[in-house]
Amino acid sequence: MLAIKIILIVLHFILYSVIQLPSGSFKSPAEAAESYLEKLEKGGAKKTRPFQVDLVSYSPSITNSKTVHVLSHSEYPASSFAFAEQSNSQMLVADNTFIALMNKLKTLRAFETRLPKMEARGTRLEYQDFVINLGTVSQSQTTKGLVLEVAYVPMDETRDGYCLIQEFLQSFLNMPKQMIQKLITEQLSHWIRSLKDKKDAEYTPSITLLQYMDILIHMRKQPNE
Amino acid sequence: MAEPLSTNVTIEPCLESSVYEYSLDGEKIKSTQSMSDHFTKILSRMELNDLRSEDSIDTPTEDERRIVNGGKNTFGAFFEQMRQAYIEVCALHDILSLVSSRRYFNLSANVADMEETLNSGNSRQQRELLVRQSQDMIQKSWASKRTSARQAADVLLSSYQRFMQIINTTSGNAENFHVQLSNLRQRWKIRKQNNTNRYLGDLSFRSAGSFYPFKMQFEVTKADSHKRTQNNSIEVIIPEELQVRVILKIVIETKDRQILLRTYSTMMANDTIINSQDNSYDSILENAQRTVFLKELFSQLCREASDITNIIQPTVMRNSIKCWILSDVMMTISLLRASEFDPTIDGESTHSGAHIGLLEYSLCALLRQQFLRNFHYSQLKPSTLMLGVPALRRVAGVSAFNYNQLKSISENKSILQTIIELSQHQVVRARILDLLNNLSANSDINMIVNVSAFSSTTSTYGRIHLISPGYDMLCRWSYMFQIEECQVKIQYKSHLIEFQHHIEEVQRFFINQIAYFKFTVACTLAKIFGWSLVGSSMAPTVGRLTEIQFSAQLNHTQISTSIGIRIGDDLQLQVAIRKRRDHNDDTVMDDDSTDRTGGSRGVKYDPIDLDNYCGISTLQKFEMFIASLLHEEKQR
Repeated sequence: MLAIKIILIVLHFILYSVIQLPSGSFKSPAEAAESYLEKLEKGGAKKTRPFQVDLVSYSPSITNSKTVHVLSHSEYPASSFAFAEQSNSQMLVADNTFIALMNKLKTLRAFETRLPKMEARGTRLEYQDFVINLGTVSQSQTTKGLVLEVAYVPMDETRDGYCLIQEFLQSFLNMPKQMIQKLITEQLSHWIRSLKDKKDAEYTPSITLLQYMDILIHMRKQPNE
Repeated sequence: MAEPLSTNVTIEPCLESSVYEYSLDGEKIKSTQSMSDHFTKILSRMELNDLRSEDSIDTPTEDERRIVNGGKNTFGAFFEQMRQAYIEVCALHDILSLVSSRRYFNLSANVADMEETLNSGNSRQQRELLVRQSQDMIQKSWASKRTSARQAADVLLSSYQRFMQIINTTSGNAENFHVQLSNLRQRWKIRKQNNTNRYLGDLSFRSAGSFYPFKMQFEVTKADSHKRTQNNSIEVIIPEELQVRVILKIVIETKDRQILLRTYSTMMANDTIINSQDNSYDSILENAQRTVFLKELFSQLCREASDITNIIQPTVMRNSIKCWILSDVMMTISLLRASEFDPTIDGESTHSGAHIGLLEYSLCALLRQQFLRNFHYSQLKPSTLMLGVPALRRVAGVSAFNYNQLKSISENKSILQTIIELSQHQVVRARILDLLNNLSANSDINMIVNVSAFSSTTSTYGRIHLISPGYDMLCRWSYMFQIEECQVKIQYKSHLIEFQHHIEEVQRFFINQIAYFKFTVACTLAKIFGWSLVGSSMAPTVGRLTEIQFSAQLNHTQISTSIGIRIGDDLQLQVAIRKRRDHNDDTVMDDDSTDRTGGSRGVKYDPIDLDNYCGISTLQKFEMFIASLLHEEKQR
């Protein structure tokens, strides 16, 4: 059983989902990625530049501290995002030299990197106002799955943006609505649910990165094929 | 070099124990002497100056410096005088304090007390004696104090008069080097060099953020006695390379040497040529600074010219930058020396008064922007980030800027690029508006062009309306247009077309549209009169802009005559008629174009001269024509 995960994210205004596709259709994640890419390109999306998301986890040497996950995204080249475990979905947005700081702390034996580094590499595509990032997730050269990020850039209304992304996925990748609902990560569904209460909730890049973090940590825990 | 005329002003700041001395040229010296020492020093100077002024009446040509040495002997006597005056001032102070603190009245109160005690003793004589004695005492002390006060007042008054004498002589003297220097200091930054006693000023824009590496210092010296004139005792020495006057010249011309714009940096506009003989230090310095400004600007432009890697690569040749801003328009920016500039060639016509100062101001603003970028702002910086990056870039990481936002930070338009874009837009805009103006003047329909007030410096928006005069309700077409640097976008009927670089295409487009409009209006008018459109060659595409040919055949159910109408390149409505046969045998649809080219097939139309019909416009004449056809038919 090959797990292919798909993230859908609306930048600014949301959507993100993790999908467990039936394994029968594709033999390997690379093949799946190719077929998705083909589908997208046939639909009119254009390749722009490579895309990459990295996750490095720093485990504490001292027992009382928390594990710190540091993420970087090619869409935000100047920033790095850090998340300490059990910190109530609060993401630290820092300059990209933050990684250097963490490495410094590592040399001071405050942290160590026991967990393997996760990487998502792929292509960034654009279709009108949609930005699609499609990449394969690998953990030290072992391919773990597939990740898809969809962003609808100009939207100002989060719920409508989510609907537009659903629409986009249905038409481009033939994903049924129920499947998308199932694939969304907890973070995103939580966010969408919370929107019903709040009137104006701005979508921030850290929400995107939280979704990535969830998926990448989840994939890391999965056994290799 | 001691300056006998300058009096240093000593100031004791209220929160500091030390005393500072300021000389006339603004130099600050921390003084080691106390206030009283200074007072005596100043007094000594007063004495000397006073002597000098008296001497100079007798021997006006005598040198001042000799008096400086001779004056010291007289100091002792004056000091003695001052000491006496000091004692008297003290006495005066005593009296004043006596009066002000009411001790005098206390004294009289004591006398009253004495009276009371005497009353109790019942000795009237003794009392009177005592009163008289005390009154005598008071009167005597009063008189003595009065005289000493008068003496003190005399001393003070005489020194006041001396003071005034000195003040009057120095302020009225325009030849004074220091007065002129301080005047000069109000406009230029001049510093006294510490050890050498030289006065140096800086002409560069370094304080504004300029990084131009050349030294732009000038020196202020005292003019030699033989050079000294009535109002000029100062001499300004500027570096040799700044002594030339330079002019920045911008010319925009077409391939055929037609000059669209010729302008000069404004220092040429009014006064500089006229005042070129004016050697007052102010105009010399102003000119030097203009030279610095223009040289710096030009070097900046040259540097940027090599950075532009566009299709339009500007070329730098000796003292000019040449750049093709459009395919047939060249812009030349050149730096000329005043000697190379010939005002007779460049007539007044190219120089309109409204633009005076505008060019220089704009260039100044552009250069200033460049300077601003050279500054570093130290606020808002994450501690992990290094110094020397733009302020926006520093916060980019923390505020999670995306790729495009980051890219926009580093994008800076250089001065030359701005100039090129601006001139491109101006040229294209002028041409388009000129073209529209010509078209509207030459066609007999109303063409209304509105230019939007929201236009920016590099893009102009507007609307064009086509209306047939008198038939406003029949047909009304509008177009939106947007003119950018070198492209024109026109939106009409939900189409958007772009024209790059070629104004001729825009002209073709509008001619086509006008022809089409006229044709449509004519057809619509005919339809109102009951004619039906049997066939037409309409619907021109943008690709076929070169062929402008609209023609149609109109039939009427009651009239056995067909009308053919045609509009060609000349935008003139041509009308022809033909008798229709009863049997519908003319199967070949035909218009004037086939008639004109082949002639073998098709049917002959008889042309109608619309001028035979009355009306103010072609359309009205056409209306009269079709109406008359109907009228004839009715009468028949």
